[in-house]
Amino acid sequence: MDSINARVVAVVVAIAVVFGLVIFFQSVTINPLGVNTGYAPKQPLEFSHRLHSGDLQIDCQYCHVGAEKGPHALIPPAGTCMNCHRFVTAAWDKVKIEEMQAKKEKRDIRPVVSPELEKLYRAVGFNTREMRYDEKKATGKLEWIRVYNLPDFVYFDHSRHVNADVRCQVCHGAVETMERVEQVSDLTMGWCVNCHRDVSHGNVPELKGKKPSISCAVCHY
Amino acid sequence: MQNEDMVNRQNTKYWKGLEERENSPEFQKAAENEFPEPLPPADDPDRFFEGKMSVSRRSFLKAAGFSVAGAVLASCNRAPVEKSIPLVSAPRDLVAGTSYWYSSTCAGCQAGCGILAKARDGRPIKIEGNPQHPLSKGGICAVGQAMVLSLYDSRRAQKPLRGGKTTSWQELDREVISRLGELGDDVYLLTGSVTSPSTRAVIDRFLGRFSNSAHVEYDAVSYSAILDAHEQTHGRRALPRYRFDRAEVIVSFNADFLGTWISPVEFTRDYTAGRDLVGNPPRISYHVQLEGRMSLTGSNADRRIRVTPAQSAAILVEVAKKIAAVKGVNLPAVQGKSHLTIDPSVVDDITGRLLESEGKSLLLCGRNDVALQRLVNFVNHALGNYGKTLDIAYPSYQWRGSDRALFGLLEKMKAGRVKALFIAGANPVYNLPDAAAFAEALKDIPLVVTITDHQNETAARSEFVCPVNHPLESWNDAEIAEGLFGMTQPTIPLLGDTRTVRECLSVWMDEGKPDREIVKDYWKKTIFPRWKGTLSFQEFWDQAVHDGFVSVQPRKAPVSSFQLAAVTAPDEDYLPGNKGYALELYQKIGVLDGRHANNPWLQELPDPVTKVTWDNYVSVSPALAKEMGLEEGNVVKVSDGVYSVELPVQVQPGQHDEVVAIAVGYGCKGTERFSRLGPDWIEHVASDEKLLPIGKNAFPFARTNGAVTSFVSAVRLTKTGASSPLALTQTHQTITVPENLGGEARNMVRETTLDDYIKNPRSGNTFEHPVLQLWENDYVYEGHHWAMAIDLGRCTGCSACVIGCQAENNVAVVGRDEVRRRREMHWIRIDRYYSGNEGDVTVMHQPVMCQHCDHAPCESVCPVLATVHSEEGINQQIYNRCVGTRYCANNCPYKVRRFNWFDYWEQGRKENLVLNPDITTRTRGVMEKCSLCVQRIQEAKAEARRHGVELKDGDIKLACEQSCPADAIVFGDMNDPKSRIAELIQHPRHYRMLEEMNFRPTVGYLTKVRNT
Repeated sequence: MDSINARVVAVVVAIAVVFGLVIFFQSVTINPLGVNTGYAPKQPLEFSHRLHSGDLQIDCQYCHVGAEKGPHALIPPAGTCMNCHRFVTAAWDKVKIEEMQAKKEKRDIRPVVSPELEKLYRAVGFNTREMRYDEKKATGKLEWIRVYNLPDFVYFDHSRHVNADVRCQVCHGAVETMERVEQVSDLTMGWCVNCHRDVSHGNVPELKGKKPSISCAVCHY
Repeated sequence: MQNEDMVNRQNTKYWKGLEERENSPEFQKAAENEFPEPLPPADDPDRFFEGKMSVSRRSFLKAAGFSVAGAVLASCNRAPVEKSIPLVSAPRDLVAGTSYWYSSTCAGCQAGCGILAKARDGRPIKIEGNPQHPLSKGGICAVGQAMVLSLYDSRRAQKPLRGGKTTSWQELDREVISRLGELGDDVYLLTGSVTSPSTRAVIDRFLGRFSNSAHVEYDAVSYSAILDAHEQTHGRRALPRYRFDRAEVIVSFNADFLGTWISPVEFTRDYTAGRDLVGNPPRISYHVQLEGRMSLTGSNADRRIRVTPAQSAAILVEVAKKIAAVKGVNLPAVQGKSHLTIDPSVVDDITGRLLESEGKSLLLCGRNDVALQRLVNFVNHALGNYGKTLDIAYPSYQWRGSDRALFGLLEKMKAGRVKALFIAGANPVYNLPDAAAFAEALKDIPLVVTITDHQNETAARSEFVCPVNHPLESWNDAEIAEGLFGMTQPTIPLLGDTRTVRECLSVWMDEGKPDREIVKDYWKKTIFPRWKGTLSFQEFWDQAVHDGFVSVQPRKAPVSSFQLAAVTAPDEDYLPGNKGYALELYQKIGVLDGRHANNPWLQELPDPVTKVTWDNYVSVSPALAKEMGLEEGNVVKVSDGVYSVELPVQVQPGQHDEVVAIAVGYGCKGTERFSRLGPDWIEHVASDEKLLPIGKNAFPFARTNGAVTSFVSAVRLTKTGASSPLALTQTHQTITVPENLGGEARNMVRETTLDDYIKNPRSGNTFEHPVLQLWENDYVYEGHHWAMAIDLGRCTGCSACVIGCQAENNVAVVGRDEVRRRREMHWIRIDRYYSGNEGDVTVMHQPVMCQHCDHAPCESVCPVLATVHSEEGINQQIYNRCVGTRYCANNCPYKVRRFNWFDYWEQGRKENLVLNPDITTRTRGVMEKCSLCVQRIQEAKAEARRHGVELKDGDIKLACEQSCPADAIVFGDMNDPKSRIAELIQHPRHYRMLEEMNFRPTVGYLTKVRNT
C-alpha cells in the first residue's frame, strides 16, 4: 500500500515538474547574462509611441530633447506632455461621441478625460473641470521604467550619435510602431563595435564617410 | 659629447630621500622588490584568515547550492528595474547630463582667487580657475579645488544648536534678540579677516546699535605685523599689493609666498611670469630665500641660505644698514653692533643685487614682527620699489587681522567687560597662542554665539551655535584689492538649515532681507557708482555675476611720506644655542591653519617638500638627527617650558641644524574620524589605539608680546623612545635604477644655469646615447596624437594638479594606514629630487603621471588586453576588462599605475555627491592611472562636432593643466604643427624620461633653468 502510494506520488511529481519546466521555458526567453532584449516593462502610464510618433508623426526630439544636446535623450518632463494635453484630454472619437450625446440631450458638453491622462493630470496638478493648474495638488510622480540600461562602466552619449546622423531607429527599432516600448538591440559590446566597424568600412550607405572609432577609451573611462 | 655628459651626470646626483642617497640595504631591497607593498595576507595573517579558512562540509554544500541556484535565477531574471523620474517642468536650456559653469570667488582662504564651479545636474563637482580673473589668472591652488569636497562634508554643521541641543532658527533668533535687548552695550564680534564689503556694512550697522562695541578681526596665522608696520611707516594700515612679475630680484626672508603666504596663487602666477626666458638674451628673475626650514618657496629659489630666525633678523638689519649707507640715509636705530654670525659676503651679495635693480626688486619678510617689517619697508622704500614692485597706495585687502585688537579684546574679556561675544569664521579656542585663557574668559561672558561650519572647539564652548553656509551655497562678495571686487554666487541650493553671517546679523537687527538682496543693495549703493560704464545697475550686476569679479575705478589711498623715525632696531632675539632650538611654526599647503582639517583630500595630499601625508611632525636637519640619534618616525617631546607635544621626527635635508619646524593646523577636533578612514576591513582597526585627532596642535607654541603673535619660539627636544611611522610617499614608486643593476644612464630631472642656457639652449639636455630598438617605429598616427609637456622651470611643486586630478577623476582617498603601505592612489605624484650635500640641497620638483608611451611596456604584458593603445596615442586602461594581475604596474618603468587594493567607495555617503559622473569609480582588484582626461578629450570633440567646427589648439584643457597656477603644463595635439605642444616638443629644453629605452613617451619635460 505504502509503496504504491509512494510510486504514484513520485510519478505525479515527476510529470508536474516536467510540465512545469516546459511551461517555464516556453514563457521565458533565456538571454545571456546581462542581455535584456525583449524587455518591455509596464510603464506607469500607458503611453503609446505608435500613436504619437507613428500616427501623429511627432518628431522624437520634440519630447526627447537631450538627444542632440547631451548624453541622455531624456524622458520628457510632464510639462512637455501638457503642451498638447492641456487641450487634448481624451481620444478624438470619445470627445465626438460626448459632443453628439450632449447635442442630442440638449445639455452642456462634459469634459471627457481618459483614465491614462488622468494620471498625468494628477502628476502635474491639472484641474480638468476648470482646465487650469493647481500646483499645490501636483504629486510630481511619474516613475517611468528605464528600458535601455547600460552598465556604469560604459559612457554613451546620445548627442554624438544623433549629430552624426544616426537615426534613432538604428538602435531603438521601429518605436513608431510600438504600443509599449520594447528593447530591440542587445546592447552588448559586440553589437556596438560591429556597427562602428561597419560604418567606418563604408558598409552603411547612409553614414558613408563617417569614421567612428573603435578605441576602447571612446566608451570606457 | 658623451664624455662631457658623463662628467655632468656624475656632478649632479639626484636623490629623493636620505635612504636613497645613502643607498641603504632596505632601500635597495624595496627598489628591487617586485611588490614593494606588502600583500594583504602577509600584513597580518591571523586577522586576515581568522575564522574564514575552516569551512565545514555542510557550509560548503550550502554555499555551492546557493551559488548554483543564484546563477540560475540570475540568468533568467531581468536586470534590476531602474526608474527615471523626470522633473514636472524642466528649466529651459538645462539639459540633464551636461555641465554648467558658475563663476565665483574662492573662499578657501582670504586671497579671493577667481573660480569657475562646474555643476552637473544641480551639484557642483569641480572647481577650476577663472582665466579672466585679474589676480589668479586661471590658476587655483589645491585648497581651492578641494573646497568642493567640503561642501558635501557629512560632518558640516547643519542645524542651529543651543547648549549643544538642536534648536530652530526662530527660537534661537528670539532668544538672541531678547538677550541682546537686555544687554545694550559691550557687544563684540570676533572674526577672521572679513573681505566681504557687504558683510562689513552689515557688521557696522549691527554693532552701531550698541555702545562699546567693536569688530575684532584676527588671522590664526597672522599678517598683522606687515599691516602695523605700514601704518607706522606709511600711515595706512593695509597690505601692500606685491607684483612679483615686475621684480627682477626677489629677496625673501622666511616668506613662503609660493606656498601659503598671503596670496600664493597670484604670486605663483606672477613669479613664474617673471621666469619666462623671454628677451634676447633671455632673462629671468633672481630669487634668494633665507630661511630655517625648507619651504616650498625655498625649494624653488635660485639661491637658498640656511639661517636661524635670529640670523635672518641680523642679516636683514645689516642689509638695511648697508642700503641706508649707500643712500646716505641716517638710520640711527640700527647703527649698533652687528649680530651677524655668518659669512658677511651674503649681505654684500644681497645688497649688491638689490642696488643693481632699484625699483625692480622686492624684499619680503614672512615673520610676524613689526620691527622687522618696518626695516623691510625701509629697504623697499629706499630702493624705490613702492609703486613699482609693491603698492601701498593701491593696496590689497586680502588679510586685515589685527593681533593688537585681539589682545585688547582678550584683556576686556578677562576684566569682565564683554557682555556678548559673537564669533564667526574663527576658532580661537583652538588657534590662539593662549587659547586656554580665552576659553576660561569665555565662561564669564553672558552671551556667546558662534557662527561656524563645523562643531569645533569654540562652538563646543558657546551657548548658541549657528551653522553657516558653504561658500558654494551662498551669495557673497569680496574686496580683494583696491578697485577689484569678487562676486560669489550659489551653485547649489542649501544642503542644511544654514545661514550666512550677514543673514544672521541682519535677522538679529530685524532687517529681515534675503541674503542676496543685502549684497545686491550694497552693490547698488556703493560699488555701482564707482563703476565707469554705461550699463544699468541690473545689467552691471548680471555682468558681475557672470564674470565673477568686477574692476572699478581704484581710489588712490592717502599715504603719508615715509616715516623714517618709525624704523627701529628689532628688539627681539631668538638666539638658540644654550636656550635650545628655534622652533618655526608654519602652515602646510593643504590644511593651512586648520580650517581645512576636515577635508580628506587635503589631509592625504603629500606635502610638496616633505612628502608626508595625514600628520604633522617635527622636521629636523639630518645633522641634528644624527647628533640626537634620531631616525625618521622616532617620537620626540618638544617643549618650550609651558607647552609640550610628542610628535614623530621627519629628517629634512636643507634645514638649518638649529631649527626645528612643526606645522600648525593639526590636532583639530573632528579629525578623529580620519584615524579610522580606510577600506572596510581596516575601518574596524583604527590607526591609533583610540580615536585620536590627526596630528597635534602646535598653535600653543606661538608667543605673544601684546602687540603681535610670533610664530617662532625656542624649544627643547627630548627623545621618548617611542616610534610612529610617518605616512610619507617620499620614495614610493621610485624610478631610480639601483647601482647593482647598472645604475641610471642619466637623470630624470635636468637643470641648467641661465648663463649656460644663453650660451647653449640645449645645455643640461645634451645627452647622446644608443636607443634600444625593441619594436619597429612603424605606426602612423593619422588623426590627433595627444601629447603633454611640463616645464620644470615653471613648476613650483605646489600640488594643485594632484587635487585637480583627484577631483576630476574620482581618485579615492585611502587613509593613513594605506599610505604607509605605499598604496596611495594619486594619479599624479610630484617627485621631489634633492641634489648636493644634506645640508645645502637644491631641490627639483617633477610631476609624474602616466607618460602614455607609444611603445608602452605595460601594454605588452597585459594578459587580458585591458591596457591597449588608442589610435590617438593614449595608453588606455579599461577597468571592466582588468582582472588585476598587476603585471602592467611591474613593467611600468615610470611607476605610475595604481592598484585598487580594496573597494574604496561606499554607497550612501554624502561625500559621493562630489563624484564626476563621467568617470567610472574603480572597484577592488582593478588597475588605474592617468587617462589624459580622456573624458575631456571626448567631450571637446563632441562639442566641436555639435557646432560643426574643427577642434582648435587649447580647446581641451586637462584637469591638471587648467588649474596649474604656474602654467607649467601644456597639452595638445602634436600632429597639429601650429599647436603650442608641437612647438614645445621642438624646444631645445625638451626631453623625455628614459628616452634611451625607446618607450617613446608622449609626455615630455622642459629643463629647469636656474639664475645662479
